[in-house]
Amino acid sequence: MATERDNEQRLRDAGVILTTESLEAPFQAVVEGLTPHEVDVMIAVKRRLDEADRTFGWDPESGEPRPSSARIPP
Amino acid sequence: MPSASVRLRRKLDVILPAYDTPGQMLEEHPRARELYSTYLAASSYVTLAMVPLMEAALDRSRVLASTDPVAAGLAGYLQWHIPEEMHGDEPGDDLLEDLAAVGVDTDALRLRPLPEKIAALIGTQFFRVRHAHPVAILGLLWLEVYPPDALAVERLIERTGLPREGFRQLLLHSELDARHGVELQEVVDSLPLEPWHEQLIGLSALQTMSFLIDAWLEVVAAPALEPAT
Repeated sequence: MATERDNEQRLRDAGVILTTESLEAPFQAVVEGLTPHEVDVMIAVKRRLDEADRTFGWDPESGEPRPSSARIPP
Repeated sequence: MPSASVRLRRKLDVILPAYDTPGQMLEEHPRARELYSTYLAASSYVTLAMVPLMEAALDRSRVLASTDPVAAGLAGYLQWHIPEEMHGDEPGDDLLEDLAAVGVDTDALRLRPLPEKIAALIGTQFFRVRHAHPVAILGLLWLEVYPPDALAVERLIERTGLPREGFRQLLLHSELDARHGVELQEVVDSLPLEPWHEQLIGLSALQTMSFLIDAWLEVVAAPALEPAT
Protein backbone atom coordinates (compact mmCIF):
# COMPACT_ATOMS: atom_id res chain seq x y z
CA MET A 1 0.00 0.00 0.00
CA ALA A 2 1.50 3.31 -1.08
CA THR A 3 1.88 5.99 1.57
CA GLU A 4 1.65 9.76 1.30
CA ARG A 5 5.44 9.99 1.66
CA ASP A 6 5.79 7.54 -1.23
CA ASN A 7 3.93 10.00 -3.45
CA GLU A 8 6.47 12.74 -2.85
CA GLN A 9 9.43 10.39 -3.27
CA ARG A 10 8.05 8.89 -6.47
CA LEU A 11 7.46 12.37 -7.92
CA ARG A 12 10.95 13.48 -6.86
CA ASP A 13 12.56 10.35 -8.33
CA ALA A 14 10.75 10.94 -11.63
CA GLY A 15 11.77 14.60 -11.76
CA VAL A 16 8.22 15.92 -11.50
CA ILE A 17 9.22 17.69 -8.29
CA LEU A 18 12.50 19.47 -8.97
CA THR A 19 13.14 21.45 -5.82
CA THR A 20 15.41 19.82 -3.27
CA GLU A 21 13.78 21.82 -0.49
CA SER A 22 10.65 20.96 1.45
CA LEU A 23 7.43 21.60 -0.38
CA GLU A 24 5.27 24.56 0.56
CA ALA A 25 2.28 23.59 2.66
CA PRO A 26 -0.47 23.85 -0.02
CA PHE A 27 1.57 21.85 -2.51
CA GLN A 28 2.54 19.34 0.16
CA ALA A 29 -1.16 18.79 0.86
CA VAL A 30 -1.84 18.23 -2.83
CA VAL A 31 0.97 15.67 -3.12
CA GLU A 32 -0.13 13.83 -0.01
CA GLY A 33 -3.69 13.66 -1.33
CA LEU A 34 -2.80 12.13 -4.68
CA THR A 35 -3.95 8.62 -5.43
CA PRO A 36 -1.39 6.14 -6.84
CA HIS A 37 -3.20 6.36 -10.21
CA GLU A 38 -2.80 10.13 -10.24
CA VAL A 39 0.90 9.82 -9.44
CA ASP A 40 1.23 7.28 -12.27
CA VAL A 41 -0.33 9.74 -14.74
CA MET A 42 1.95 12.59 -13.66
CA ILE A 43 5.06 10.41 -14.00
CA ALA A 44 3.95 9.14 -17.41
CA VAL A 45 3.50 12.72 -18.63
CA LYS A 46 6.96 13.68 -17.38
CA ARG A 47 8.56 10.70 -19.14
CA ARG A 48 6.80 11.51 -22.42
CA LEU A 49 7.96 15.12 -22.24
CA ASP A 50 11.54 14.05 -21.50
CA GLU A 51 11.37 11.79 -24.54
CA ALA A 52 10.15 14.69 -26.69
CA ASP A 53 12.91 16.94 -25.36
CA ARG A 54 15.55 14.36 -26.23
CA THR A 55 14.10 14.29 -29.74
CA PHE A 56 15.09 17.92 -30.00
CA GLY A 57 18.57 17.40 -28.62
CA TRP A 58 18.18 18.51 -25.01
CA ASP A 59 18.94 16.11 -22.20
CA PRO A 60 16.45 16.59 -19.35
CA GLU A 61 18.97 14.90 -17.02
CA SER A 62 21.60 17.55 -17.77
CA GLY A 63 20.40 19.88 -15.04
CA GLU A 64 20.31 22.72 -17.57
CA PRO A 65 17.06 24.65 -17.86
CA ARG A 66 15.06 23.78 -20.95
CA PRO A 67 16.05 26.41 -23.54
CA SER A 68 13.34 27.16 -26.05
CA SER A 69 15.86 26.83 -28.88
CA ALA A 70 16.53 23.25 -27.78
CA ARG A 71 13.06 22.39 -28.99
CA ILE A 72 13.96 23.30 -32.55
CA PRO A 73 15.78 20.68 -34.59
CA PRO A 74 18.92 22.11 -36.26
CA MET B 1 -9.85 24.47 4.11
CA PRO B 2 -9.57 25.26 0.40
CA SER B 3 -12.63 24.67 -1.78
CA ALA B 4 -12.95 21.63 -4.05
CA SER B 5 -12.14 23.71 -7.12
CA VAL B 6 -9.00 25.10 -5.49
CA ARG B 7 -7.89 21.60 -4.52
CA LEU B 8 -8.48 20.41 -8.08
CA ARG B 9 -6.69 23.37 -9.55
CA ARG B 10 -3.65 22.86 -7.33
CA LYS B 11 -3.51 19.21 -8.33
CA LEU B 12 -3.68 19.98 -12.03
CA ASP B 13 -1.20 22.83 -11.74
CA VAL B 14 1.42 20.09 -11.25
CA ILE B 15 1.16 19.11 -14.91
CA LEU B 16 0.07 22.48 -16.31
CA PRO B 17 3.58 23.31 -17.58
CA ALA B 18 3.56 19.96 -19.42
CA TYR B 19 0.13 20.76 -20.87
CA ASP B 20 1.48 24.03 -22.29
CA THR B 21 4.65 22.51 -23.73
CA PRO B 22 3.37 20.89 -26.97
CA GLY B 23 1.80 24.19 -28.04
CA GLN B 24 5.05 26.02 -27.34
CA MET B 25 6.93 23.37 -29.32
CA LEU B 26 4.54 23.87 -32.24
CA GLU B 27 4.96 27.63 -32.12
CA GLU B 28 8.74 27.31 -32.22
CA HIS B 29 8.85 24.45 -34.70
CA PRO B 30 10.42 25.22 -38.09
CA ARG B 31 7.68 23.11 -39.71
CA ALA B 32 4.87 24.80 -37.77
CA ARG B 33 2.97 25.64 -40.96
CA GLU B 34 3.00 22.02 -42.08
CA LEU B 35 2.18 20.57 -38.66
CA TYR B 36 -0.58 22.97 -37.56
CA SER B 37 -3.44 21.23 -39.37
CA THR B 38 -2.49 17.82 -37.93
CA TYR B 39 -2.14 19.35 -34.47
CA LEU B 40 -5.57 20.97 -34.71
CA ALA B 41 -7.09 17.80 -36.13
CA ALA B 42 -5.91 15.83 -33.09
CA SER B 43 -7.79 18.26 -30.82
CA SER B 44 -10.82 18.29 -33.11
CA TYR B 45 -11.77 14.71 -32.27
CA VAL B 46 -12.18 15.74 -28.63
CA THR B 47 -14.23 18.76 -29.67
CA LEU B 48 -16.47 16.62 -31.86
CA ALA B 49 -17.00 14.10 -29.06
CA MET B 50 -17.49 16.66 -26.29
CA VAL B 51 -21.22 17.33 -26.74
CA PRO B 52 -22.12 13.64 -27.20
CA LEU B 53 -20.13 12.86 -24.03
CA MET B 54 -21.91 15.63 -22.14
CA GLU B 55 -25.25 14.34 -23.43
CA ALA B 56 -24.36 10.86 -22.15
CA ALA B 57 -23.48 12.40 -18.77
CA LEU B 58 -26.75 14.35 -18.76
CA ASP B 59 -28.78 11.22 -19.56
CA ARG B 60 -27.05 9.28 -16.78
CA SER B 61 -27.41 12.18 -14.34
CA ARG B 62 -31.15 12.33 -14.96
CA VAL B 63 -31.44 8.61 -14.21
CA LEU B 64 -29.60 9.06 -10.90
CA ALA B 65 -30.95 12.48 -9.94
CA SER B 66 -33.84 11.43 -7.70
CA THR B 67 -31.49 9.82 -5.17
CA ASP B 68 -28.17 11.49 -5.98
CA PRO B 69 -27.78 15.23 -5.28
CA VAL B 70 -24.47 15.43 -7.17
CA ALA B 71 -26.11 13.98 -10.28
CA ALA B 72 -29.08 16.33 -9.84
CA GLY B 73 -26.81 19.39 -9.67
CA LEU B 74 -24.73 18.15 -12.58
CA ALA B 75 -27.84 17.66 -14.73
CA GLY B 76 -28.84 21.29 -14.15
CA TYR B 77 -25.39 22.51 -15.22
CA LEU B 78 -25.12 20.28 -18.30
CA GLN B 79 -28.59 21.23 -19.47
CA TRP B 80 -27.57 24.85 -19.99
CA HIS B 81 -23.92 24.25 -20.85
CA ILE B 82 -24.42 21.77 -23.70
CA PRO B 83 -26.00 24.36 -26.06
CA GLU B 84 -23.03 26.66 -25.34
CA GLU B 85 -20.65 23.97 -26.59
CA MET B 86 -22.42 23.19 -29.88
CA HIS B 87 -20.41 25.61 -32.05
CA GLY B 88 -22.35 24.79 -35.20
CA ASP B 89 -25.55 23.11 -36.38
CA GLU B 90 -23.93 19.82 -35.50
CA PRO B 91 -21.49 19.68 -32.56
CA GLY B 92 -18.07 20.91 -33.64
CA ASP B 93 -19.11 22.03 -37.15
CA ASP B 94 -17.36 25.39 -36.73
CA LEU B 95 -14.06 23.69 -35.93
CA LEU B 96 -14.41 21.51 -39.03
CA GLU B 97 -14.72 24.75 -41.04
CA ASP B 98 -11.46 25.98 -39.49
CA LEU B 99 -9.79 22.72 -40.41
CA ALA B 100 -11.07 22.96 -43.98
CA ALA B 101 -9.62 26.50 -44.15
CA VAL B 102 -6.14 25.07 -43.56
CA GLY B 103 -6.55 22.31 -46.09
CA VAL B 104 -7.86 19.39 -44.07
CA ASP B 105 -10.24 17.01 -45.84
CA THR B 106 -12.84 16.85 -43.06
CA ASP B 107 -14.73 13.96 -44.63
CA ALA B 108 -11.53 11.91 -44.56
CA LEU B 109 -10.86 13.06 -40.99
CA ARG B 110 -14.14 11.46 -39.88
CA LEU B 111 -13.26 8.15 -41.53
CA ARG B 112 -9.59 7.67 -40.72
CA PRO B 113 -8.37 6.01 -37.49
CA LEU B 114 -8.33 8.33 -34.50
CA PRO B 115 -4.99 8.97 -32.80
CA GLU B 116 -4.80 6.16 -30.22
CA LYS B 117 -4.53 8.50 -27.24
CA ILE B 118 -7.55 10.49 -28.36
CA ALA B 119 -9.57 7.31 -28.81
CA ALA B 120 -8.48 6.26 -25.32
CA LEU B 121 -9.51 9.64 -23.92
CA ILE B 122 -12.99 9.51 -25.45
CA GLY B 123 -13.54 5.86 -24.54
CA THR B 124 -12.33 6.36 -20.97
CA GLN B 125 -14.66 9.31 -20.49
CA PHE B 126 -17.65 7.40 -21.82
CA PHE B 127 -16.91 4.41 -19.57
CA ARG B 128 -16.55 6.60 -16.48
CA VAL B 129 -19.72 8.56 -17.21
CA ARG B 130 -21.71 5.37 -17.69
CA HIS B 131 -20.15 3.07 -15.12
CA ALA B 132 -18.46 5.22 -12.45
CA HIS B 133 -20.39 8.49 -12.11
CA PRO B 134 -21.39 11.13 -14.68
CA VAL B 135 -19.60 13.78 -12.62
CA ALA B 136 -16.40 12.44 -14.25
CA ILE B 137 -17.32 14.61 -17.24
CA LEU B 138 -16.21 17.64 -15.24
CA GLY B 139 -12.65 16.34 -15.58
CA LEU B 140 -12.92 16.60 -19.35
CA LEU B 141 -14.55 20.01 -19.12
CA TRP B 142 -11.76 21.17 -16.80
CA LEU B 143 -9.84 21.93 -20.02
CA GLU B 144 -11.94 25.10 -20.09
CA VAL B 145 -10.05 26.31 -17.03
CA TYR B 146 -6.97 26.52 -19.26
CA PRO B 147 -8.09 28.38 -22.42
CA PRO B 148 -5.82 28.98 -25.41
CA ASP B 149 -3.69 32.08 -25.03
CA ALA B 150 -4.84 34.66 -27.60
CA LEU B 151 -1.38 36.18 -27.99
CA ALA B 152 0.15 32.75 -28.59
CA VAL B 153 -2.51 32.04 -31.24
CA GLU B 154 -1.72 35.37 -32.93
CA ARG B 155 1.98 34.46 -32.95
CA LEU B 156 1.13 31.09 -34.47
CA ILE B 157 -0.93 32.75 -37.22
CA GLU B 158 2.02 35.00 -38.03
CA ARG B 159 4.58 32.21 -37.85
CA THR B 160 2.65 29.75 -40.03
CA GLY B 161 1.33 32.29 -42.52
CA LEU B 162 -1.85 30.22 -42.68
CA PRO B 163 -5.25 31.89 -43.20
CA ARG B 164 -6.78 33.41 -40.08
CA GLU B 165 -9.94 31.40 -40.80
CA GLY B 166 -8.07 28.32 -39.60
CA PHE B 167 -7.71 29.78 -36.11
CA ARG B 168 -11.21 31.15 -35.43
CA GLN B 169 -12.19 28.56 -32.84
CA LEU B 170 -8.89 28.88 -30.98
CA LEU B 171 -9.36 32.65 -30.81
CA LEU B 172 -13.01 32.31 -29.81
CA HIS B 173 -12.20 29.85 -27.04
CA SER B 174 -9.42 32.07 -25.74
CA GLU B 175 -12.27 34.42 -24.72
CA LEU B 176 -15.17 32.01 -24.12
CA ASP B 177 -13.32 29.47 -22.01
CA ALA B 178 -12.07 32.14 -19.65
CA ARG B 179 -15.72 32.61 -18.64
CA HIS B 180 -16.66 28.93 -18.91
CA GLY B 181 -13.70 27.99 -16.73
CA VAL B 182 -14.83 30.31 -13.94
CA GLU B 183 -18.39 28.97 -14.21
CA LEU B 184 -17.11 25.41 -14.07
CA GLN B 185 -15.18 26.07 -10.88
CA GLU B 186 -18.32 27.59 -9.37
CA VAL B 187 -20.28 24.47 -10.34
CA VAL B 188 -17.65 22.19 -8.76
CA ASP B 189 -17.89 24.20 -5.55
CA SER B 190 -21.69 24.13 -5.60
CA LEU B 191 -22.00 20.34 -5.82
CA PRO B 192 -22.09 18.27 -2.60
CA LEU B 193 -19.02 16.31 -3.65
CA GLU B 194 -17.69 13.49 -1.51
CA PRO B 195 -13.96 12.70 -1.59
CA TRP B 196 -14.45 9.90 -4.14
CA HIS B 197 -16.27 12.28 -6.51
CA GLU B 198 -13.36 14.69 -6.25
CA GLN B 199 -10.86 11.92 -6.92
CA LEU B 200 -12.86 10.83 -9.95
CA ILE B 201 -12.94 14.36 -11.38
CA GLY B 202 -9.24 14.83 -10.60
CA LEU B 203 -8.15 11.61 -12.29
CA SER B 204 -10.46 12.31 -15.22
CA ALA B 205 -8.90 15.77 -15.67
CA LEU B 206 -5.34 14.49 -15.26
CA GLN B 207 -5.87 11.73 -17.80
CA THR B 208 -7.59 14.09 -20.23
CA MET B 209 -4.61 16.44 -20.13
CA SER B 210 -2.18 13.52 -20.29
CA PHE B 211 -3.86 11.96 -23.35
CA LEU B 212 -3.94 15.33 -25.12
CA ILE B 213 -0.27 16.01 -24.31
CA ASP B 214 0.62 12.61 -25.78
CA ALA B 215 -1.46 13.17 -28.91
CA TRP B 216 0.03 16.63 -29.50
CA LEU B 217 3.59 15.42 -28.87
CA GLU B 218 3.05 12.72 -31.47
CA VAL B 219 2.52 15.56 -33.93
CA VAL B 220 5.26 17.99 -32.90
CA ALA B 221 7.93 15.51 -31.76
CA ALA B 222 7.46 12.32 -33.78
CA PRO B 223 8.19 13.76 -37.25
CA ALA B 224 11.71 14.64 -36.14
CA LEU B 225 12.22 11.02 -35.10
CA GLU B 226 10.76 9.64 -38.30
CA PRO B 227 11.65 11.99 -41.14
CA ALA B 228 9.56 11.60 -44.25
CA THR B 229 11.23 9.52 -46.93
